[in-house]
Amino acid sequence: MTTTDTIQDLVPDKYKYGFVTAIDADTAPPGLNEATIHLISDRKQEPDWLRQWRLKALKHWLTMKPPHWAFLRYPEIDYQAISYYSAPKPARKDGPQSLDEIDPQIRQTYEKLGIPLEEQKALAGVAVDAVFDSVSVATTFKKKLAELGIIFCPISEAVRDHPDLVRQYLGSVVPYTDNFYATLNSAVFSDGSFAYIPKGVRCPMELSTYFRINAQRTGQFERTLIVADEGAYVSYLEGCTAPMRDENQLHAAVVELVALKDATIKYSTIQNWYPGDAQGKGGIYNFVTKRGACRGARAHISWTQVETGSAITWKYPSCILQGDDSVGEFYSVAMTNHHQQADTGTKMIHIGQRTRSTIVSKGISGGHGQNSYRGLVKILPGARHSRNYTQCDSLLLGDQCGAHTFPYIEVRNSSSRAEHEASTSKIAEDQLFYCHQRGLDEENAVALIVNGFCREVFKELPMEFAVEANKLLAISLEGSVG
Amino acid sequence: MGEPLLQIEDLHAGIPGREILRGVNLTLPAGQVHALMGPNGSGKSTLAQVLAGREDYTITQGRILFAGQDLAALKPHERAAAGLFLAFQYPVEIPGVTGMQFLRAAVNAVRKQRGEPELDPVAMLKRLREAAKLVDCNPDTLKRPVNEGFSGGEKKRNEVFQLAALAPRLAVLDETDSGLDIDALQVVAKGVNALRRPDRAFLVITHYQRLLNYIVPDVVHVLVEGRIVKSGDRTLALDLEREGYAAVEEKAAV
Amino acid sequence: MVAVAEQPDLYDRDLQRLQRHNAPDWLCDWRQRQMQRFRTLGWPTMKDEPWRFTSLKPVMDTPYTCVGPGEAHAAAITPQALEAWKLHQEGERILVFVDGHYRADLSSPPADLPQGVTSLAQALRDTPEDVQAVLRRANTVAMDALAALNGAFLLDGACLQPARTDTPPLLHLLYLATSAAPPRVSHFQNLIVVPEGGQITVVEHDVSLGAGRHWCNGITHLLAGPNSHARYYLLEESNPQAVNTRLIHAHLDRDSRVELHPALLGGGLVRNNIHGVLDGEGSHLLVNGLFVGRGQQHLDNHMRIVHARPRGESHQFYQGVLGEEAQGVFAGRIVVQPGAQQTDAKQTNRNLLLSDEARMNTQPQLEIHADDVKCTHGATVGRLDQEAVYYLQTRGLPLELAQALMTYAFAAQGLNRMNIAAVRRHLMRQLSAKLPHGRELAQMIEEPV
Repeated sequence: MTTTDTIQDLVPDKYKYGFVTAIDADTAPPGLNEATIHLISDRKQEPDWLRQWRLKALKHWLTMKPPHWAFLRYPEIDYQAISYYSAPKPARKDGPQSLDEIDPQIRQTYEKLGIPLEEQKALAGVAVDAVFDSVSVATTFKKKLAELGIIFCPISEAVRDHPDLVRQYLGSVVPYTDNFYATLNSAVFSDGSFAYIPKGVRCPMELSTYFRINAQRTGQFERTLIVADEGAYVSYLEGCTAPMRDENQLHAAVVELVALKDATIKYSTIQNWYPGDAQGKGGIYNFVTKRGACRGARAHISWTQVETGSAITWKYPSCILQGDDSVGEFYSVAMTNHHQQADTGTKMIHIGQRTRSTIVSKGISGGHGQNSYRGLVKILPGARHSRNYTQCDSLLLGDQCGAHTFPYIEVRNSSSRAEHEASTSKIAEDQLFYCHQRGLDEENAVALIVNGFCREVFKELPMEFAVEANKLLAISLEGSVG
Repeated sequence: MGEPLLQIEDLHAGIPGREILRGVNLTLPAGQVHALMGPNGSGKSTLAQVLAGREDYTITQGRILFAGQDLAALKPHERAAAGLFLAFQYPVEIPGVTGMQFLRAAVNAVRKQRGEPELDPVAMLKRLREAAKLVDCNPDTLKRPVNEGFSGGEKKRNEVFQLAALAPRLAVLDETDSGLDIDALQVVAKGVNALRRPDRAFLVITHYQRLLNYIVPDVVHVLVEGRIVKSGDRTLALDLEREGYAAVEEKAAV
Repeated sequence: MVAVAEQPDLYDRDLQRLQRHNAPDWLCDWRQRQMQRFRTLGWPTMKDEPWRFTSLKPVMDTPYTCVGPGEAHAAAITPQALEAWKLHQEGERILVFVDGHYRADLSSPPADLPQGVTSLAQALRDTPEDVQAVLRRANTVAMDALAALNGAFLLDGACLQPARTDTPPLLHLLYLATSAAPPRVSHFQNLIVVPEGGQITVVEHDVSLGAGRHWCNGITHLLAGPNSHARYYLLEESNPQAVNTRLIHAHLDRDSRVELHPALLGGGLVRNNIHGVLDGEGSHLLVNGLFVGRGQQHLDNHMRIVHARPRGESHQFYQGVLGEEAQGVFAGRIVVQPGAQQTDAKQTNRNLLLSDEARMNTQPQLEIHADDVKCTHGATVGRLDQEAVYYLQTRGLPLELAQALMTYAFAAQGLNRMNIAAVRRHLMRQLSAKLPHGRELAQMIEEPV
């Protein structure tokens, strides 16, 4: 048996999170116009400044065209056929007052996903904000965090309770004019998480948001904003799943990170949206804008992502390194199988002096998957003595898939240095044979080698996530052998 | 003489279009060490690969019995589970996978196939430490990715360490000595000698007599052009060194 | 793309005038079609991905005119004047072109030229079917607007189809560009066909005859037959006013070996496209690029290597040195098509920035559609190793000379991959002349002849 045959036998068919929760939902009719914005703003009882901001974004969006430069093939999306708001109908009009009042159906959903919402059952040291379709349904450990002055709540709640903070930072990293999908998000974003870590505070637990798309023919447009004040530290985790549906669903999120002087933000994602079936039917279209700004000296932003889901992934978590000596990092594992397509990477914009960035990208393609790394490293004239190191490796698990690398390196001063290395290879027959000779069957041998390939990225994940990431990859490689 | 652990009968094998092994007969009882010598291209490494089940080679005639079972029916990992170990001539690098992860996966995979319970991490660590001690190997090797960045000597020592950890019934050493300096050779040989047991057999494949000064074989076989042309005790190896393969070939031809 | 608003009448007038030079119908048609294509495609702009860093505005805004055969009327050029540009390599045969037109009077005597080596204009007269056939074979790659414009003015160039020989000469194509008012453009094509098992060495050499503006928009098609071996050098040494836009297209048949050595030292605005297609099993392509810019030079290297068949091997090295306000671009893409298994492709782009005003944009890219491949690429942008410079200083070299030597050593990595001593020597001299302390440097590095 050749490697190719082997892998094809190992190709995943199991998406374990594909169930639908039957729940009474309040869903807006499909279509996008000013009335849609008013509906969202009304439902959320938003202040006028936010309503106006959304309307400006919509107006701008109507002048924009979707970008086509990515190495992705998909039919045009009919943005008028999508519903832009869906929320589970609450038992009480003013929403659940405590975790006990959450709809048991939703609670069960999260339990099935392995995210218990009861604090006593929760993973030790992880606070969770659970987002179900368009709204946040629960946030755990809020009280404990509040004692430290940490704000962690749904962004809609933050708009109400901490309007000044939200107003100061919302759109400051990703302006509403940024790009087609970010502009769309600015107009219609429903919910998401907000976190603020005050000066000098080290957040004692991992903050986490778990996104779940449930409703049909809806898009999910969450918006996350994390601000780490001077000297603060936070580690943030994001997980995502969706039911198996035949149609493609749109997910266009925006994440903004702001790290002030000496602050550190670690942002980890495990993206496991429904990838579509083996024939490429269905799956989530994932168009996400994630960007962090290192606004002060020695600020540090680190993105780690494990992308195994979605039919289409378009995503470039970026760092704007403004502060002198600030540091940006991007660690990524992206796996595409069947007919999945991913065009993902990062942008590192060096503005301050002695800024450093590291990029480690591991792409794995199987089936008919297309996997592209696209990254920009830009070192501006003022960013003297800056450094970038980039490493992109691709692993091919079949002869029908593709792996592509498109780095852009622009250096504009002579005291800086940018280095880029990339390689593409398949699992060598002799590696497999060596593993077999030591007693491992096909499935285990491939999983072991793939795991080793991803090690540099996995070691950046918080422990709880590293375990989940490992399992996820194992599921993705699970198959009929043995 | 004990029960034959390995019995090779009239084995013909090769790659498409070329027969490399042309009727090999060999019997290896448990508890013994046999050396297989021969000039370059005689088929020594092919025999090792055929024993381990490499798919590039096809058996066209004859059979291999391992503890009475025909190996042809078994896949490489099943042969490993049955207790056959091959120390590679060129050990393979597996980037990112530490020695610990690798051996844990291998030992447990083998145990699972045998219907034995898997070892928990603590028991595993204990076992691997013992194995390391037995062959005088630095257990820190376990923290490094398998063979990645290892020197030639380190790779060969790591093979012997894996041999100790997996505790097979038959170990085939494929030119484990080639490319080693005398110090590294002694370490490797010492490790192998420490692993000799009445229920375990070794097939030591080598091009040079030198190794056999340290791993003393019970029987020496000479493989020429895909056939064993001569077998004898360890003095045969010394003859070979003195007179060369050509002389033995001539004598065998007579 | 922008509509071709600039200079439309001028190009049309030029074309109409040139069409009158007794060209056969098929050729007139061909030119007309290419002009049409140019109109459809329009000038590329910086919004087009392949032109992100290079603006053709200076070309669009200048009334470059194309002169016909006999219209050149260049200042008298004597064979003696050519000596300075010769490579002085044994077996060197020189073909001289002025503003894109072949000048037999300045070139090696026809008797000295191998059979099958002639000017394109001559070949178009003598063996038009042959040329047509080559053009058909060559025009299989996607061509941009500039290539279309070149096709519209298909007049002359070199046509090299030598028979197989054991001692192939070094064919030196010397393209001289004059400074005139209005400034001139030459759209020449070199057609190089290497027969099965044949060998060829071609050095194309672009130089200016004056200090004024000119534009050279040339295409080279190199069709390497089975098991053949071709070496092609491009020496760009024109003046800092010059615009040079090039396409070098190499098509490799099975087991062929092709070396392309583009060395961009001169020119103000240079865009060099390399398009290599490994279209035969087991073919081997080396691209060894060198670009050295200073002043306000803009040197743009584009490269696309397509592995279309199994067991192909391609290695690409680009060394860039940028001083003062020079700008460099490298965009190289390796494409491995489905089925091109056991491809071995390696791409390396190293760049040295000598000043804070210099800029480098690099995009090494891999696009891989087969699984059993070994592909790597690497790119670095940085400055001289300060430790090494310091080391040389402690050994007695003044700072500037130490830097010049290190810079030279960096560029020399590219020179060392060139295996024609005369070319290497020539480039060494050109290179050291561009660096401070040039004369001392030249003495330190001169290779024994």
